[in-house]
Amino acid sequence: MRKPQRSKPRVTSDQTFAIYLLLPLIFFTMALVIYPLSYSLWLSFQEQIWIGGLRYVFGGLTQYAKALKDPLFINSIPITFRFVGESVTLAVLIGLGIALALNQPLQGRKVIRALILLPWAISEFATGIIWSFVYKRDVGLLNAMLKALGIIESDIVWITPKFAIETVSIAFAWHMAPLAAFFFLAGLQFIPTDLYRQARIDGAGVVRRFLSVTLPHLKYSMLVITILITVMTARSLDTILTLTGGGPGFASSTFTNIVYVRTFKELQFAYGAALSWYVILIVVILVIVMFMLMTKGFARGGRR
Amino acid sequence: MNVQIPKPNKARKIAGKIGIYTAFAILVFTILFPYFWMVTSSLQREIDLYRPPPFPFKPVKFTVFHYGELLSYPPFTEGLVNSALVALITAGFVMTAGSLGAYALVRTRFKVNRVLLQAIVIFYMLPGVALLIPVATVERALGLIDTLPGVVFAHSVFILPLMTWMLASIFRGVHMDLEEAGQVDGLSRFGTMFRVVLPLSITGVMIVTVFCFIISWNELMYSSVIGVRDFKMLQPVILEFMGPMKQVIPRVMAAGVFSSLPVIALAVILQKYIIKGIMSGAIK
Repeated sequence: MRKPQRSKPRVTSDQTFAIYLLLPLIFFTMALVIYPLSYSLWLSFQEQIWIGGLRYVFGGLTQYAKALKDPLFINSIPITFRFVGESVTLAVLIGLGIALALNQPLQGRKVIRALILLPWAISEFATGIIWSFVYKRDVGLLNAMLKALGIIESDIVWITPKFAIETVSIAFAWHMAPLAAFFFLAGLQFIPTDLYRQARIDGAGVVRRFLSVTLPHLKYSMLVITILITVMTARSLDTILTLTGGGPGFASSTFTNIVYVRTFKELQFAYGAALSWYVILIVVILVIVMFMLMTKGFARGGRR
Repeated sequence: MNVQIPKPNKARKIAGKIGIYTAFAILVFTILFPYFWMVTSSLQREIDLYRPPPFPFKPVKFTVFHYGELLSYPPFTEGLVNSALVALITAGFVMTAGSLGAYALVRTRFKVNRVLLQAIVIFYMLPGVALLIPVATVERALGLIDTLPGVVFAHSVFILPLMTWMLASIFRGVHMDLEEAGQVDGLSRFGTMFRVVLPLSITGVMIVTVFCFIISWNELMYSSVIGVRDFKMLQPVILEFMGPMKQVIPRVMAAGVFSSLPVIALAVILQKYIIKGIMSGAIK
């Protein structure tokens, strides 16, 4: 199945080597990844009948056609884009900030480095729980702080139909920023310190050093972490469920929420499968576009 | 560690330091405050928490009542043990299969490699809900429901692809020259992997291992479906505390603190490896 047409002598040893290494991965993939995937694909082309227990009959593209006319699903797409756009941007920027700060020879950074991982250490649904108490109107932390600082006089309702998804974005960015920070921190370790010394000799200031030494070297970390967080955000569900419950109404329901509602609340398994394939399609396109834009941007930003 | 050759302007340097420290303090405060708040509200009596003004702005009595309550609740302690076992085994399994696979994908030149890596990423993009039913079906057929291997496999389904991809990106960061030098010195392919690539990327590998553990430890959906009755996992037990009728906030918060403890321990270990990574970088 996989025989590269090459005649170099090294290839044989390479090939056997690779197959040894890949065996566990391939075996596992076959057993528990490929099957569920094909099952879900198969399911998406069925129609379910509840008469005399749950049965499936082939329904072609009916489920896919149904999705295009599902107002909740169509509505959830711009909401998802807002959620992903906002929380990824926030998480990456905060993460970069933390990483740069923790890379400085500051007092107590060892402790902080360990502590800073805490928001990520909390599960997604616990993040939702904590932040639901931050936003609560009467006993919430945010209103209390703003009142104590004298910024507001009466309590503000934070989770409104218009900005519900923003509240989730902030909570999720808080949860994800440490992950970004650790990736950037790891990336920073690969930058040779000589480069900074040379830049200093050339008279480059802090900003200039950041732009022409740090940033170009972080481009790979940036690409990896942005895509990773985008995917994690797009597929996340628990935070929204515990923070806003997808509401008010469906104002903060991303497409995974709708998949969840349709599949497990309404037990439309086949339809849920079809919706998930739409979700995959959207996320794949999103990531490919991001990947292209970012590699292009990096190419223009000059070589290292 | 930081030797400056031309001395920058002293006043500017101090101003810069102050700027860095301020920014640093704000960042740390924002990041840590909600967590700190969770810890402190877990130490409150329930009634105190609901009476305005909200908790940090009023005098309070601290109590460890809710922690004791949790530790004397068998499903909770059971969940702690089970989740720890599952997370450890998952991390071990995923790191073994994942790092071998990732290394093969990065360092051997097959045309399929690129496609495989992309397929892995695409697989991870599937919303977890979408695979839940198929995975549960497979596990039921294999009789893995309510067993330790069952939960480990279910977690590996979505952790392994992600980690393979992350490891691949880490291994790619190791300079090819060093590996070639290893091979010139007579190391085998496996030798270069274990003696050159792994030590050089140990920081990243340790971070990924810890991430593995944390993702598995925090996972809710698969844990609750695969470990339904006889194999209680921690997160579903915590979620039970959130039920609309019996929601006791300090208890939920205490449970949240408990579930973050192993992660704090791991973060300390991780810290050591990050420093090691820096040192080896400096020596090189």
